[in-house]
Amino acid sequence: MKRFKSPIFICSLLLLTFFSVREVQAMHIMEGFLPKGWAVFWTLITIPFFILGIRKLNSIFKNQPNKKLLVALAGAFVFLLSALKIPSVAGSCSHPTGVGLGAIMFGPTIMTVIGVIVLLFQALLLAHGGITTLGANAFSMAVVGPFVSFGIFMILRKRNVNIGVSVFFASALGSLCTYIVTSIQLGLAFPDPVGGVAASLVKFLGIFAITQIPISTVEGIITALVYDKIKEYEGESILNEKIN
Amino acid sequence: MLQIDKIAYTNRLTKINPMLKFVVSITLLFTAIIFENILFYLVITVGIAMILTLYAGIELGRYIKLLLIPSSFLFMSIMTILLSISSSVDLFIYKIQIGNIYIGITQTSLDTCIILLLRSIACLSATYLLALTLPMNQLIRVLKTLKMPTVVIEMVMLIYRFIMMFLEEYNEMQTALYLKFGYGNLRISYRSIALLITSLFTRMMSRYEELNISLEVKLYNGDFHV
Repeated sequence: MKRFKSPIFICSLLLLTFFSVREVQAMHIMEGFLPKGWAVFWTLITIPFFILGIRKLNSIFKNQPNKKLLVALAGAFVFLLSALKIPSVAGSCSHPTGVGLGAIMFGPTIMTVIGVIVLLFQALLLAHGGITTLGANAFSMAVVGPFVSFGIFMILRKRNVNIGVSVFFASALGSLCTYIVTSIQLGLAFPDPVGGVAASLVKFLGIFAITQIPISTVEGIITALVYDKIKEYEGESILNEKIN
Repeated sequence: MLQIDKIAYTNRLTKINPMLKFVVSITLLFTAIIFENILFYLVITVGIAMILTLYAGIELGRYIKLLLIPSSFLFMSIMTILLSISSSVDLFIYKIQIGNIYIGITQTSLDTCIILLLRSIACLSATYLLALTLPMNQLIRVLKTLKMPTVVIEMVMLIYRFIMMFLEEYNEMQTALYLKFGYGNLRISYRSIALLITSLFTRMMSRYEELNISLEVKLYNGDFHV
């Protein structure tokens, strides 16, 4: 009897896990989830990028004070995108990290500063992410995501790949990398008691990264559509001389 | 308006010295992270719930709903940590067998998960103590006292202002799309989302130009005096 009961119990738990995917918001690590050591570690890694971004912003603002408004608007834009629900496969919902679009338009270091402030607002206004995990979330969403997106976009553009295709790959892979880094952060912080760090990495990547592949693809498609529309409205010139 | 923001402006603790609220909640947050003690976590969680419901006047049901916001993340990650896979049987206190391997729960992972769950909830409560009683204007004052770089404070202020400005517009667009069956099927909903983001963006660009003009009229020289 007991042997019969346990599989049902586990199966129902697994089913619950799958159904709960429906409500999952983008994977920011929640408040208090990381142990102190890792929280400090990721914060320390993020700080140099943040300072770099502030320097960049200061030098831009010195010459063109009007750009302050533009950068702030970009931040509000990223925040609003994160409130957006995107239907994805199997009825699950996700929202774009939004940093791909920003990184392509404004450059990665600026997105780090904007990303950190947006994450702070998400923690305080939406209870999404957290203050103690700000460093870890910032590293995945505001450092790795934008740099990957920007790098891929630049490489593809240099090879004269179609602009829509480059935007798609840049934002999809940037978003995917964000999730992969989040899984790695969780896997490192909570090693499996049986299989060690390797096993926990596999588990977290399986749950938080593989399931995000369709969602990242969707984000890529939507970012490409948006980029196309923005270009249509504004002309290509405004995109190239945005901030830099 | 966002719910947490609204509560922050209207509860009974809004008028207390912002620095005091900030120091208390941040201290609680960091002590909860540093000391691993289950009893301490419970005290923090219950204590903050009492402060917020009795003194600040937030309804209990509403507060519990707020606490449940990150529950899906919590549930998925706790399950991930809890379950391990192995081929040896004696490690687990609770297991099922699939072929040659076992999936189950070990004592260590169970302990980790209990601490993790309580710590997350305690820390979340501490953050709520901050977020629900400290409106953004007071937070900016706190950031100023902490000597954050001016450019960061300006960005925080401007981004907050713009979020609130566009949130309403965004909600209206979203409602309009729902009414027009814009989320009817997957293909249409992708197009609707692209349209929504684009019109939001163009609205922002035109607002940006208007703001520039109005700032220039006010002899703007690059400084916001916050």
